[in-house]
Parts: sequence; structure tokens; C-alpha cells
Amino acid sequence: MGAPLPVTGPGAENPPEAGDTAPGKFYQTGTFTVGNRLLAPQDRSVQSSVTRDNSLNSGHRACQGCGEALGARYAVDAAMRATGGKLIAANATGCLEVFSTPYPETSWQLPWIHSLFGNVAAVGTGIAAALKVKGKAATCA
Amino acid sequence: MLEQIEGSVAVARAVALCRPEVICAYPISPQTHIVEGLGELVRSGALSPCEFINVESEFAAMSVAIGASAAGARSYTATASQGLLFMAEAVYNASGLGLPIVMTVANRAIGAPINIWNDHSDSMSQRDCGWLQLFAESNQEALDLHLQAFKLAEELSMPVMVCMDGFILTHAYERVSIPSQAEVDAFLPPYEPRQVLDPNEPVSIGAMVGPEAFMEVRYLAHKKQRMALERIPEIAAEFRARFGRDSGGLLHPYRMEDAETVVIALGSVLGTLKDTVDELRAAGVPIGVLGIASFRPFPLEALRAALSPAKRVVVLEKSFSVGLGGVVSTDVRLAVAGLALRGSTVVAGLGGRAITKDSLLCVLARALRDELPDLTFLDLDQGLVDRQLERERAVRRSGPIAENLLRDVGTVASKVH
Ligand code: SF4
Repeated sequence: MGAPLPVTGPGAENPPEAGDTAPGKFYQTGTFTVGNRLLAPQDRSVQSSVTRDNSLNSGHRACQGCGEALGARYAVDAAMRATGGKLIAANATGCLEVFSTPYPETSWQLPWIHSLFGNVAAVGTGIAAALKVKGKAATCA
Repeated sequence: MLEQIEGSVAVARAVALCRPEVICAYPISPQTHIVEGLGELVRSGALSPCEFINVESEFAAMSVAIGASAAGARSYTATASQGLLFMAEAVYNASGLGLPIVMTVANRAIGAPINIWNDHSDSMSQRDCGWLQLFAESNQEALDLHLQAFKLAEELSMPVMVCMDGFILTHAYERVSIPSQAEVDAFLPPYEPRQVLDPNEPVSIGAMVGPEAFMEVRYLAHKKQRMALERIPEIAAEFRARFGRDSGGLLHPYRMEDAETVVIALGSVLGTLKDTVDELRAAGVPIGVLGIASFRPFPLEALRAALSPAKRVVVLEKSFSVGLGGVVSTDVRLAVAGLALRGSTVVAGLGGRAITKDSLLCVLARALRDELPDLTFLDLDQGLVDRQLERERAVRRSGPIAENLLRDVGTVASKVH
């Protein structure tokens, strides 16, 4: 983290000069910022580390820069880490559910259910009840 | 074992014998005793392992059932009337997702005016929701249908509603035969989900589907109901072989031999109807009864075959499509399209009005003389209606209809006929 960062992205103060093809030029590396998972592992930011679950995988249809996608990925990956991957997600109707799932392109790497707009807590209660009665150690987010 | 118990208790015992793993319900008359009964069985440990979830509404009840079923648990709930309407969005969702939830509907009228008594408006309002709808004629059949419903639901991966008349069945103490746990276990295998939320094999359930496949998903639901038309009689036959009695199936024919006139009905009114037809048969009238046990899927072909030799059909129904007429009748008409059959609809028993043998004899006598109009409301108080219409003609602010009618009737106490 000590070395100057080969920043930047679109709209940055010092846009790269034409002809500059250095790898990683357009992305922050070694930071906690969102990074590009297409880069080689050593060039990635912490957020695109190979060790992340990427429960909400890339390729979904959110608007570029969507904060909800970002937030969901942070939250679900943190929960995945906390539960050792034993996690089930219930998702209310909304952008997140829509952009992440059109068949056959689901971005979810964990068991995931969408039912309705107004019932996600109750659906979660049902999942938790089922897991409890079946004696399984999974968590419902 | 034979026991003299309340219908609701019989259903609670039947559901418990099916080893549900998650039960979630919100109490509503006349369903309450069913879930209270199950609550007691879970609390006492008689039904275990099972999670009983108290929820804040019927919408939540169905939603909990959706989550539990998707996570691989055999799931059950029960409701009636306003409760069914309140959960309607989730009712459609459960069938759209293909989750084999079983729900008892203790049939009750829908308000306003608020009315807790029996008719079939509630489950008929969910006619097109994708659930299978089975109707019980007696408490014994209500009990038996729950065993069959779990089997059918889980085979098809589609939800099943068992409809039983509120109060008339739910609160009636009748003799019922309760099977043993071993007998039920031999009939109903453990639930093997087709889809399950499992961290070891993640799937996405409830994904968005666009025009490219939506129609196919809906068609598959229809296809499964058509497959159920085959399975329902087979399951009823297996049930008869194991338990020694007839329950379920598509149709309940009664004295249909050489019947020129056939009366069609659903649910407990079939009892009164059979007594009435016995009387007419004793007087030499060739009349029979055809009970519809499976309303969804609707047995179009079986009904057509059963009605082909007849001359007249009367559909006696406890449901009513305002602005049209009968609900069941519309489906029956489709089944007999092209047959030379005189048909009429008798709407009866709305809001719990008693359907008596005398009234049935009267209306069937008119049918036999071919004097019954297309649509009749059994025991409708025409004077009461006319006086209200007159009030509405006379003054603009004629006031609340229900209050006017009750004042006219001269009572606010419940009177069934
Ligand atoms: S929340 Fe929806 S509309 Fe907003 S940026 Fe994300 S995908 Fe786009």
C-alpha cells in the first residue's frame, strides 16, 4: 500500500495518455475500492480478491455503478464469511431481485429466494423454521 | 380408530399424522379450532419435530409456508374468508413457485356485509390461482383428503387447498375413523423436494421470467393440474385399498343410474341433496346427484361422460359471480358444451342460509317441470329486495343497505332461513 497507486478511472483528473497500455491503469489496485476481477490476482484491489465469495457475481444487469449491487455484495459476502458459507438469502421484489436473476443468468452463488415485495421477513422466518426443524446449521439473511 | 370428535379436531389430527415440519397460521373463524388443535399437538410434543409459527397475518402465514417449503420442509397452513383474501398475493406466489404447501380453507362468506357463516365465495375467489382445490363432503372425507393432499401436492410439486364447509363441517361432532401413524406413513412417503434452498447446491428460486418463458411456466402449472386428473383417482384408489373407504377422487356419483335429471354440488350440501334425491327416487323420479370433489383441476371429461345420458342438469352452488350468475355452472357448461342438456343454476346458502330439504324439493320440482329459470336464488326474500329498491327510488340518501334490510326483517339476531 506504500507505493503510489496507479490510479484511475473514467473522469479522473489525470486521464491516461493515448497509447499507454500499462495493465491496471484504469483501476485501483491494492485498495479497498471496488476492483476488476478480470485482472491478475496480484493487481487486484482487496474487494476483488480471489478469496471473496462473490455471492452476487458479476454479469448482472444493474445500472453501472449501482449502489444497491455494491451494498448487497458487501453485506452478503460478509455474512457468508461469518457463517462459513452456510447462508440462505431471501430477497424482496425490487431492482436487486430483477437485475440479478433473469433466467438463466442468475448472479447468486448462494441459495436464494425471491417471493414478493412485502413478505421477505416472513419468508425468512419460514426458512429459519425449516432449518431449525431439520437440525441444519444454516443462517437466513 | 373410531372417534366422535369435532371436524376441526379431526383435520388437526389428520394433518399431524402427515408429519408436517412447519405449521404457520393466523386464527380466523371458522378455521381457528384446526390450528388451535395443531398448536396443542406441537406444544405437547405429540407432533414432533415440528415448528409452529404464530404470525401477524394471513399474508405472513402463507409467506412463512413459502419460505419453509422452499427450504425443504413439509409445510401446512389454514385459513378462511377474509384471511384467504388477505393472503391472496402469496397464494398465487406459492403456486407460481411450485411449492407443495397444503392449506385447509374452512369455507366462509366474504364481506361486506361481514358474515362468518359458510358459503364458497372464499375459495372460489381463488379459483384461478393455480392451487388444486379439493372439496370435502363430510368430516371423514375432510380428514382423508388431507392425507391425499400432501401426497398429491408433493408428487406434482404444486400446492393443494382442501376446502371444507365452515361450521357445518368444522364445528360438527361426527364419528370419524382415524388411521394409525403406521398406516399414514405407509401411504405418505417423506417429502422429497424438487427444489430446495441448500448451501451445498445453491439454486435461485423465484427468478424473474420474461416473455420468453413466462407462458411456458404457466402452461406447466396447467399441465400439472391435467396430470392431477389422472393421479387423483389413482390416489383415491390406493387410499381405498389401504384404508377401506371411498374418499376423494374427481366426482362423487350418487344414484346416477338412468338419471334424467342430475344435480351437481360441492361440499357438505351433498348430504342434504342425497336425502332429497332419495325421496324423489322413492316417488319414481329418475334423478341423481353428482358431487364435484376436485374443483381444480376441473374434471371436464369425466363430467361430460357422466352427464351425457342425462336430459337436465341443475347446478346447486354456494358461490356467485356478481353480474353473471353461477361460478361452478360456468365450468359445467363448458363440460357439456354441445350436449342437448337443459341446464340451470341455483345459488343457495350464501352467508350461511340453511339449505333445507323442503326448499330443494320445491326447486327440483320446478326443474323437473322444466320451469326453472337459468338462474334462481334459493329462498331469496324478493319482498325484502323490492322494498329496498323502492327506498332507493324514493330518496337519494337511502342509507346503508344492510341496516335497512335488517330493520325491515325486524331482527338483528342471526336467523338461518
Ligand atoms: S438500484 Fe436499480 S435503478 Fe438504481 S442503480 Fe441500481 S439497478 Fe439502477
